[in-house]
Amino acid sequence: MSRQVFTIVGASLAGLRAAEALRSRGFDGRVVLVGEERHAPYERPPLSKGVLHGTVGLAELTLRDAWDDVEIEFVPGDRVVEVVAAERDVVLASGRRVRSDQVLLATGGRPRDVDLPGLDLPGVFTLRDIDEALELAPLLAQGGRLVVIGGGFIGLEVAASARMLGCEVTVVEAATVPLARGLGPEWGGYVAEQHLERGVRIGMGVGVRALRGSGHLQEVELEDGTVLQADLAVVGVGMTPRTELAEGLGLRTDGGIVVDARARTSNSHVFAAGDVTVQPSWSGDRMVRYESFQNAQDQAAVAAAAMLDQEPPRREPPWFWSDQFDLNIQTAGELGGADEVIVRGDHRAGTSFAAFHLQGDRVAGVFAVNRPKEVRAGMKLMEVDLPVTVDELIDESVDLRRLAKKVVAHRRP
Amino acid sequence: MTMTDTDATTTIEDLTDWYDAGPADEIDVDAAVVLPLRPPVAVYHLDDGFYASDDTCTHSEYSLGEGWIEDGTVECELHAAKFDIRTGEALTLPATDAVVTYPVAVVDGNVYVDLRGRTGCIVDQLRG
Ligand SMILES: Cc1cc2nc3c(=O)[nH]c(=O)nc-3n(C[C@H](O)[C@H](O)[C@H](O)COP(=O)(O)OP(=O)(O)OC[C@H]3O[C@@H](n4cnc5c(N)ncnc54)[C@H](O)[C@@H]3O)c2cc1C
Ligand code: FES
Repeated sequence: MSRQVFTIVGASLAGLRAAEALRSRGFDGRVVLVGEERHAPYERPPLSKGVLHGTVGLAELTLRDAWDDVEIEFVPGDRVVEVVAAERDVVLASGRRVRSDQVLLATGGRPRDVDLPGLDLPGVFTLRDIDEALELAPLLAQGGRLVVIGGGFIGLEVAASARMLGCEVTVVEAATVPLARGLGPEWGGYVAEQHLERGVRIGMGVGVRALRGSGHLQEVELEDGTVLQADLAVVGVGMTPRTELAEGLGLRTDGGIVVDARARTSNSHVFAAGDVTVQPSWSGDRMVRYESFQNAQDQAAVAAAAMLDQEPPRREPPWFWSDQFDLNIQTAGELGGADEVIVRGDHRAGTSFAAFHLQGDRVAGVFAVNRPKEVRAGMKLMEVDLPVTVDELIDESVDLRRLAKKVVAHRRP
Repeated sequence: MTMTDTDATTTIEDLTDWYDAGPADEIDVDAAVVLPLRPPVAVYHLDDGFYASDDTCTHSEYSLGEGWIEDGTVECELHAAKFDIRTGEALTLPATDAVVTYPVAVVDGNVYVDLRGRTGCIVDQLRG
């Protein structure tokens, strides 16, 4: 019998992690990992942080550059243009075809398109790939005027990095509070205030009408008629999942490739993981697209297990971090639908606190600034699903890690 | 992060060049202390003994001794990379490089770490 072939489309975090997990789980067939980018898989989070600061480059961000020891056939710089359902032939732009027993789609996303005049002017950027970040970094280092269109996490991280580099920065956000979708109005407002205090200007509740300039971006016109002078603009209005291959295969998509908790699509030979998927949420009550490092890494391991028909690894509560200025922002679990929010530390007076979002007497979510320990402890408390008291959460002398660990130890069989 | 056998024949004299990390009973199981060296070193207490490694996460700069310790692993709290405390191996991204580990011995209830092979600068500490 010939060796089985598992082909992974998309060589970034999810694709790489799945390939490695197939091997560590004992798969002895061929693993083919195809990536459109010409680089080896690399870490994206620093693209809006360290890369813009000029402190890290591709070499530091590369996640793997030796392939022989894990026996992964890495194909860089080639794009999968079609997956033929009947034979499960994976067709590459180069003309190569890889007949595959199983296929994993880990195609991530691209910056969401906006329809604005002037988007193609030099000086206007989006940020998803390292090539874009490396092009943008030296321009920001010149300290000019930057307009960030969209107050999402990536937009705000770019704003913070640019501000730290001495740029004059304005963020334009159509919603009335930035980050409201992910964090809710209160914490979104908190982050906005931190930006204002550090000299970022934020225009909220106003859209952009046009980007203008002759030969190069010169100004950004807002819908209320305001004109902002600009040397650079970064458009960060979210991500569009790259579902086109899935659609070609006739898979279910709904704002992403629809998968179950084991990363299986509606075709029994095709799996999907990472930013491109929508999956059952942690609480299980809805479908969500988690666009996070943690999800890409962990869902990939789940997908590898499913491809091998093995038990999936346990998932942790969803977790996300963002570094902006001197703020390490972390959120875990679910912030929406809280009955009560208990803040440990003082969010009005400083930049070190953890807010526990309670549903009944259980921790359902945590939002924290410069309090990673509390987030970790909170995640454990979510996992073990045991009651907590407000006093324990508020009292800084109670070591929440101990509390969570005791509970964990208690629960062990 | 091997734990050196501290059988009855190991004596304090054998450890004169080792770094004194203090009383063993001051480190709880599944906890760590950070030794004030430059760069710092973390000493962990697991259920089967003591281990040591560089304290600084190999991903960016954060203290592993401050991390979450469970099942023989330590998780960095900044971006959640996990390391095997016994071997130093990086188990999850974003870390890709192992953290350097050091031999540990426990004699008469005191923990010693063998940092003699270390390239980092511990001169300050040796002076003090
Ligand atoms: C600037 C930036 C900052 C971020 N910061 C954070 C952060 O602070 N914290 C956090 O938790 N997360 C952060 N993220 C999110 C995190 O990086 C993503 O969740 C993660 O990269 C998703 O991994 P993925 O493998 O699913 O998709 P992606 O990383 O998007 O990779 C998909 C890959 O597939 C390739 N591909 C697509 N289609 C094809 C095809 N047809 N053929 C071949 N190859 C194809 C693409 O070229 C790409 O390389 C950030 C993301 C960005 C862009
Ligand atoms: S600094 Fe430890 S994971 Fe990033």
